[in-house]
Amino acid sequence: MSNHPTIVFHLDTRSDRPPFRQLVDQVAGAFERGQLRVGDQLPSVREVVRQITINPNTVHRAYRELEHLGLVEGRLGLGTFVVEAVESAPREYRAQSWRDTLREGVAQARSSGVGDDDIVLGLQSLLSSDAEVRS
Amino acid sequence: MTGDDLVIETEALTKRFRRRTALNECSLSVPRGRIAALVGPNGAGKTTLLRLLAGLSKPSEGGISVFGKEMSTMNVELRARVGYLDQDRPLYPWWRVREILEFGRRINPAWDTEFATRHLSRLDIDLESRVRDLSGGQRAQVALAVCFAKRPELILLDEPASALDPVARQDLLHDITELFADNESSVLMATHAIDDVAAICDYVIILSQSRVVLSEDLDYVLESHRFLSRGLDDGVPVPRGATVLQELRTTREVTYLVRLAMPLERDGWRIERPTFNEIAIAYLRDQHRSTPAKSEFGEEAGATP
Amino acid sequence: MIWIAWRFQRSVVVALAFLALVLIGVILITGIVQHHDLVQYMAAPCRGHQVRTPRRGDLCGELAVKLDNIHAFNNIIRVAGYIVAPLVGALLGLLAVASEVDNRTVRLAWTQSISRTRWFVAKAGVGAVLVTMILVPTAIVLSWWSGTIGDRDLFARETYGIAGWDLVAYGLFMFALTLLLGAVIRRVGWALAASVLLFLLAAFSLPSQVRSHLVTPTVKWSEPYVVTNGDFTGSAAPYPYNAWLLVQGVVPRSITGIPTYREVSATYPRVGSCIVKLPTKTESEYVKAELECYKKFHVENVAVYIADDQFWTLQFREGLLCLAAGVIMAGGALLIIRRIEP
Repeated sequence: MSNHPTIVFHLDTRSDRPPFRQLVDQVAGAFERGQLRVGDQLPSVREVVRQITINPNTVHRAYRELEHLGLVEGRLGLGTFVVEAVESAPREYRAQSWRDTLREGVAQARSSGVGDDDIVLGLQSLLSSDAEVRS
Repeated sequence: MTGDDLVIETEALTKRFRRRTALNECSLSVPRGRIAALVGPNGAGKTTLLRLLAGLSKPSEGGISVFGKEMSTMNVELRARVGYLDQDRPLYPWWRVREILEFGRRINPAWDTEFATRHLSRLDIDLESRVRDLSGGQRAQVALAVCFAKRPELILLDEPASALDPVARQDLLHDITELFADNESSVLMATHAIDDVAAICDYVIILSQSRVVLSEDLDYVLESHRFLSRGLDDGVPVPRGATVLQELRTTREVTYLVRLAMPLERDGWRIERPTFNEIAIAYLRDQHRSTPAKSEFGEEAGATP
Repeated sequence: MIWIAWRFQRSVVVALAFLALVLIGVILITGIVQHHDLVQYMAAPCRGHQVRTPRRGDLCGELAVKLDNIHAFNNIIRVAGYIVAPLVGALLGLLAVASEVDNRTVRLAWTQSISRTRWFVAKAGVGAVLVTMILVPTAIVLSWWSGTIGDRDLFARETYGIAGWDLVAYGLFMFALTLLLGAVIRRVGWALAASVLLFLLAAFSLPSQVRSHLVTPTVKWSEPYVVTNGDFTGSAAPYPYNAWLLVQGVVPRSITGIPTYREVSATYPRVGSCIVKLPTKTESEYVKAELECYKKFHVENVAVYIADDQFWTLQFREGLLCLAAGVIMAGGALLIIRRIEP
């Protein structure tokens, strides 16, 4: 393994998305873009805390969530590894098809003269109005 | 949650000074292993609370327990397990930094000189320089090194980043998380910089006008608050179980920041997630009108089913 | 904690020790020179002979003038001797508590793994030892100076306060006083002002109100004597020249216990009213009448005084009193410190 971490996280403190979800998104995104591959080891919590200013509990929680999603697997004493995810990962992170749908939607919007900024705004409000609620 | 998991628990804690009440019947708890933020405007009672927790003063009324034991000015065993950074960063001005560390070593059983020297050398603070010759930021770092080198299980920080430039501030928050990751410790950090909270804290206590208005897990806070918007003429009542904290009106639309007690039924409302900043400010504003949010708006929400 | 207390007081201690050393040096050097002159002046051929305007080359006259001129300088040393003990005590006492509370550094010390009691005991203990260490050599040198140079008498009223071990006791008393007031007032300046005020009050009430109760005074009876035309009849003053006179006058011999001023002032009018009934036209008649009245009331002359053989007893008891007061004040300081909310 090289000295470089497999993934470098970043945190948007002004985001309304909870920090641990931001980490989950970043792992899932990196996996989709092919920057994280099956068998890669995620940096340890200690390493993440050294990298960026983040609460270790947040990293723990993100890794647990990723485990729950089936994207990674914690191996006792070894670390957290990206695993074969085709079967176990949930729809949102598994299928590539939603990207195609999104691409179509963007193309459609552009063809009807909507600017990119407005598309982003529209998407944001769409996402937030869909925000799930925990009680 | 059992009492064993709490590092801090206060029960109707009240602290009165000669002229004013600094804390008024504050009941709060902080679970073990958290970085908790104590948020509130100046004069809200943050410093008073921290001094009570550090064993520097005693409550006028109510109980205060740390690690499940009654904290008092006399409890040395408990104080040995608590690190405290005062907002004035008191240090002996004519001592050398090395002597300040020697002071800590002689007065604390679990002192970690190596940590302190490592921390200070990384910041290029000469151990031979005198405290009075240091800059405000450097002095804050020395005080912080003393606080951390004590290896406390509970760390109380009063505005730890206040005298620091942005880079040092970021580094300091980073140091806190690193130290926290290394130890089995818990942190309670008073701050009015809400961005710091979102960066490293996972538990929030909001103090306003001497009262606790919120004491909860940060994720839970983020998940249980929403902006609800609708047209002015829609006439849709505020959903059941939602407590209005803040109301914003435009010519055609009204937006509520609400606290949710149960999953939301989304009929006719546009829903958005607030940031912690927005939630915190709503709580602090609400207190300025000095009406307890829960009772007043809770009834309103119940009365319009 | 002892190291901490020492480190905390170090610079002030060094400064005070330097000051004390300068004082000791000045006293020793000028004292030895003066002593040499004095011995010469008192021995043959001068024998302490007073000369108003010496001629050139008159060795005795020059010595007399020299010793006379140094008087003002000796007064400075006497004043310095009175100041040094409370100064050392006050500065170290204020430094130990008031400065720490005033500068809020107690918030650092009192949140470490140590009780406030231990903190205070270490500070007060180290401070007391340092006060003692500075003042003991100073007291020894000042005692030597008082006994041989200043008033050439340890027991003289002017030098009593700077002679013997009481100097150390005064320093410790002031140290404890500033500990207490530092804890009460919590501001260095105000605590100093209040301490100086209280110390002066104590210093002035000590000789007049306290000392006479500390030792049993000597009571000396003598035949009444009568003043006639500036000549004494009867005996000379019935008490030693350096004794501290408490009461003198005529009182009935039948009085029990130690005569007081009240009894003296009660006796005079009775004797007076007896005298006016007798013929007192001439001087001899008056003397006769006075003696007759004395006899009639069985009145005798009495002197109540503290003699210099009581010096060490008085020193010991007064010192003990100061130390006891110091311990009580330090205890009070501790009680307050345990309650301070810095």
